[in-house]
Amino acid sequence: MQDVDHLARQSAASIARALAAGQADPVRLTEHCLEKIGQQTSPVFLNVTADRALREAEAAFKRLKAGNPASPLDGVPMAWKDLVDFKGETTTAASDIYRNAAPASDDAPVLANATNAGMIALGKVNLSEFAYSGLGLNPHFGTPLNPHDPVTPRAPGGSSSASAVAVASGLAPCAIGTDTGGSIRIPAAFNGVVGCKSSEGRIPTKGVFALSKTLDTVGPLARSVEDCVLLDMVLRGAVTTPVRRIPAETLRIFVPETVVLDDLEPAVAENFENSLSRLERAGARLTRGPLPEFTEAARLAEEAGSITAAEAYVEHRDLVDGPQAGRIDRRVVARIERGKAMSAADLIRLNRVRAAGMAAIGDRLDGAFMVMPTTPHVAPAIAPLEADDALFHRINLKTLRNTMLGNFFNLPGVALPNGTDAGSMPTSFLLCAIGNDDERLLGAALEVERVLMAAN
Amino acid sequence: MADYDLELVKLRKVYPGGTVAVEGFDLRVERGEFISFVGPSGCGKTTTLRMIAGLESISGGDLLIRGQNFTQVPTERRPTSTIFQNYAIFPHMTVRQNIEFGLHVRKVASADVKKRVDSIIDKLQLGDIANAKEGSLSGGQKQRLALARGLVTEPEILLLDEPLGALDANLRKSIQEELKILQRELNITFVFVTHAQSEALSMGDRVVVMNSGKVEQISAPFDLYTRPKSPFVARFIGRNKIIEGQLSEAANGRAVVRTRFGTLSGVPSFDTSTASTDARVLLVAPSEYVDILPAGAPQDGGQTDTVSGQVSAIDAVGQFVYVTVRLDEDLSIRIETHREKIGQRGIEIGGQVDLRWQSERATVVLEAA
Ligand SMILES: Nc1ncnc2c1ncn2[C@@H]1O[C@H](COP(=O)(O)OP(=O)(O)OP(=O)(O)O)[C@@H](O)[C@H]1O
Ligand SMILES: [Mg+2]
Repeated sequence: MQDVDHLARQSAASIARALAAGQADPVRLTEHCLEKIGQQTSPVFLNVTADRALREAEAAFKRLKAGNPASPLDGVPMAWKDLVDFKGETTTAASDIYRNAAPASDDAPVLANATNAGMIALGKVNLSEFAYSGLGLNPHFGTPLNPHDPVTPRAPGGSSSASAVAVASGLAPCAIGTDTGGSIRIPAAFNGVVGCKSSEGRIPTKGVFALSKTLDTVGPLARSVEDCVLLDMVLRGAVTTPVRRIPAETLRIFVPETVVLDDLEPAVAENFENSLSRLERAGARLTRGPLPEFTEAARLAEEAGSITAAEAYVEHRDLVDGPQAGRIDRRVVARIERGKAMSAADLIRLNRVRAAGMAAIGDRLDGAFMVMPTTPHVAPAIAPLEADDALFHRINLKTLRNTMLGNFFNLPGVALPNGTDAGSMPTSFLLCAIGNDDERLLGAALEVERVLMAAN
Repeated sequence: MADYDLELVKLRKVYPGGTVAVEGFDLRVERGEFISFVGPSGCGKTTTLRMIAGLESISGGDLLIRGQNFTQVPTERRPTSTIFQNYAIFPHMTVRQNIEFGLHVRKVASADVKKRVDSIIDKLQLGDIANAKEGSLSGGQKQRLALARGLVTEPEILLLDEPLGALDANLRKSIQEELKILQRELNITFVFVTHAQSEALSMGDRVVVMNSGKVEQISAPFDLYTRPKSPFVARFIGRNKIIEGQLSEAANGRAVVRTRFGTLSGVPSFDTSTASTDARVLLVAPSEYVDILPAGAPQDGGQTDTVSGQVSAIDAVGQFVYVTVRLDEDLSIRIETHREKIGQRGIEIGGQVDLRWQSERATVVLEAA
């Protein structure tokens, strides 16, 4: 029997292999995760579904013992962002307003798919209220702390803040997040884990609390690309995956020199360049060049606002215009209210630029992958952000700057850890493809991860 | 064999980055003892507690609970519970669900769950709010809930990491008392980490002082306060008056120290048979035992020591008066006394005074070799 704490810190795929081989027991593993969750030192889990998890673990134990696993991830525990419906539990979107809302009547399809695949639902984790901010601060339930700095409390990144913290601090081997402007990739970057934003429509969003019906996507945060490949399969209810590793020698990589390389922290820039040279040495072909669509998108965001703000206002207008607005994080209200001020013409312009941009980027890439630093900086300290709303908004926008281009142009992306700064805070490398090219993206990410992880 | 509830043997922690957070930690705790850990930020208190809880791996040494080796045992199989300052109660679960949680994890039969939860709810007076969620609880209620969650699994050892740090001073005081009463009643071992030395000294049967990952001293509160064993403890605990010097002789439980203010003496805190004469030492006198007198005042019995100086400041704070006495360019000593006393004794700024204490009240500690 393997040491259970050691096991709990492995990738989901390794855990599943140990379980299937009878080297470990899903019930003991689940108990261990639950016990650690019970001793969490910052508000990561909002609601722990211990009964459900233990029941599911017992069932997994029986299947695995009979040599009959439900999927390659049977028996692996997972944490869920509290935007996803669990039958019989309240979905709160980490908002004080929904603290006592009626429980959901069914599991969201994405949860039902994972459950059918034998995965164990540990419970629901914290996020930025309504999933609307890139830093992960939450004034109602407290902010889950980035585990990489034991001294200065640092932002976990958002909005899937606690999904990343749960994985990074060993409370769960993997977690589910959602990404509308960077909400999976940013916390993955800040916490040194792998995060995968899928293409629009790939993974079902029914039963997932909406921020932007157009841009919302669901995806995993995990400890390896292999885990993301398997989770991409499981979350869609698929039982096989066509993903194949793409060898480095056949990888073509485009580095846009517009917007995404501006004003990087030195360690971010250095680790990014270092990753590029590793890929080049492994045989990938690199080209660099401008991408005017990014400039256009950034300019339009300033001028016209964003699809997310417009849609978030539609989702939440009763709340932000109503008497309860004071109970919502003021910084979230401020962002949603930008949507109220937008005109139909603004939204039409945004949609046209988006459509034209998707086509142009497709032409420009022509089968190549695009890369950029996931965030221009490492996780910032929390205290200054709490003290100064203007600073919060400025850092928040900068944090989201690169990833939100991916949402605007429907570019799926995998954020991969690629080193740390001098203070051991993680940096991250974002590999993107064009919309609906998720399987090639994951195949390339398997290879990029191998190249980045290889000892010099 | 199992005389001790908890035994740490040369416990060591090296974090993956290479930080040696704890080194050579030896401790033996008796059943039902209340042990406080105190020390400056970053000295390794939390790390030690988390190793006991099984939340951090142990890099070296051994952890024994009731004589059994738990060094490699995972957290859910240890008879410990942990309560943190950020006790992170699950906010979307009711008080009752929060308390039940640990029992579900430990697979307690459901008939027992209800009984145990009811009993702890009763004991900690959480009955009125059993179905409330975190948002509507007061600071004190949250604290009691955290305790209930920790105690419901009936641990042999309760580990508390600055559990009162988030509370205001009044609440803190009353919960300190509740905790102490509860601990005596349950007769389980408490390991209590705090920044605040007053809390460590008032709560602990014994106090462990840590510094830079190492244990400086383990003593009962009064001994720690009056008989420091190291320069660090002399400076960190209490309000000691400290004079540097060199050892001139030490024998029969008495050490004589040459200082630039004359020859002084005290009780040595070290093994006098191995200390070399001329070793650098500190003479440490707890503030409470140092009296302030007009210069040349006669002695009234007993072996005392006296140093002289000039009053450079008198600051009144309510009933108390702080008199700063300048002994020389490099050393001023601040004495806390009462308003009437300095009036009666004619002590005023610029005046010459004597500071005097019973020699046996002073402790002599070795400076780091
Ligand atoms: N997870 C970690 N990874 C690396 N180093 C750590 C980690 N946790 C703590 N440290 C370091 O180990 C040392 C001891 O930290 P620890 O938290 O145990 O101290 P502490 O006495 O509890 O401090 P405080 O009073 O501030 O809570 C510090 O130098 C700290 O920076
Ligand atoms: Mg601490």
